[in-house]
Amino acid sequence: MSSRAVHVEHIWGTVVSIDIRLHRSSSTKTDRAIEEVVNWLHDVDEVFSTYKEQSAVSRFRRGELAPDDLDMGMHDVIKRCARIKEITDGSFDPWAVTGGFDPSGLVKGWATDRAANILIGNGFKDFLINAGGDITVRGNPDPNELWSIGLQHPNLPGQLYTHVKVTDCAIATSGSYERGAHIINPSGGKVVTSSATVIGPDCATADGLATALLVAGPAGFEWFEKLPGWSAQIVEDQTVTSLGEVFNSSV
Amino acid sequence: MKRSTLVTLGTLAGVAGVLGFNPKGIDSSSMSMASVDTTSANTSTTTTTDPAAAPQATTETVTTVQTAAPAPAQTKSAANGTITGNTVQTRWGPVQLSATVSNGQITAIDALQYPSGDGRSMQISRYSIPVLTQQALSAQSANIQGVGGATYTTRGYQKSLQSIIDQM
Repeated sequence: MSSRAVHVEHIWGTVVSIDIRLHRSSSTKTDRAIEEVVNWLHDVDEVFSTYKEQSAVSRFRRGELAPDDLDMGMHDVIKRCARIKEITDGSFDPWAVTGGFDPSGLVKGWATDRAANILIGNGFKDFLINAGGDITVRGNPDPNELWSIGLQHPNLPGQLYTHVKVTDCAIATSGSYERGAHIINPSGGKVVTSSATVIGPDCATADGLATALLVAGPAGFEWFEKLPGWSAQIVEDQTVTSLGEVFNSSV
Repeated sequence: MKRSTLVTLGTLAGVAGVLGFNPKGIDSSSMSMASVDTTSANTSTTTTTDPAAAPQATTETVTTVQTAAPAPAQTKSAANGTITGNTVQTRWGPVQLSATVSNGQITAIDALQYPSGDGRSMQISRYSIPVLTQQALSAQSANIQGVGGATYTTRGYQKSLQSIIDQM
């Protein structure tokens, strides 16, 4: 394995792992880059945590902040939420949450995208960020190697049920298993799928699409298939249904 | 029954899912039992997986594995050679696959017929979990650099493979 710098940050009620590989990096200032990323993650927490009463998102939900009072990050998140609601036929709908608009289903991925850009801005080309199970990779773990990512079995803790080999993409999973049934179906039906994993260019969209596919189940392939560059995998009981090049090429 | 036999049968059950047909000479209920045993050692009941039960499910996709009601498990000898599946109509057009099986293990899957689609070649497939698990088992002993899954808690992380990778 090439030399690397690893940082583990406990935040957002989960854990973010940052793994920078140095096999083709001219910069060795990993400490500074990681510090910048960590500061960003905490900034996001201050603005977007629904658990903090004084966060911007909490104040917005209570109607204490008008759209004009929102900072640019919040505007961007709202815009993206609206777009994903549209392309998923309403299966992803942060406005349908009890207690008001809750963009949590997208913010983690959105923050991870920017974290990746911070690392690139610091001169690093090869890294993995695992934000509580949502993974973003750039470059390669070792020269000429792809990142090998295992996917957690929905029902058997600690076991993987498959793996994929990837580069320059984001992988997000939404499941009804890790934190109980916290996913709400905007149309009122029950969520029956155990997990949905999507792979594509950016983590913010991946986060939203995974949540939407968990709600919609395989019927969601109707809208998902129209998204260029995206692959998906849905697990229901003992059956795995895949759509797109990434998952099918690994078999 | 030996574990290796279970894995083999699970694999064949997966092929049946991919190809959408029942291999001759292998009782489908015993395959299903085997496939459940392979991954769910701590699960005593078997749930029927019925694509028609899901609302608006894409039932025109390749036939899924039916996880049938529990039946006595039977040991069958491993198959060799090439198995050709039926042609299955999917929303993207007809799909026909063949699998090369050696000592009960799939060594290759080929598409005999495939929808060319409109620009983007859309591929949809269904597998039983044991097929993928078998691949993951070999991958786990190799090099995994990250573990994806639904958001874990801080506590969940401590017990995860990701935490081990981070400490390597």
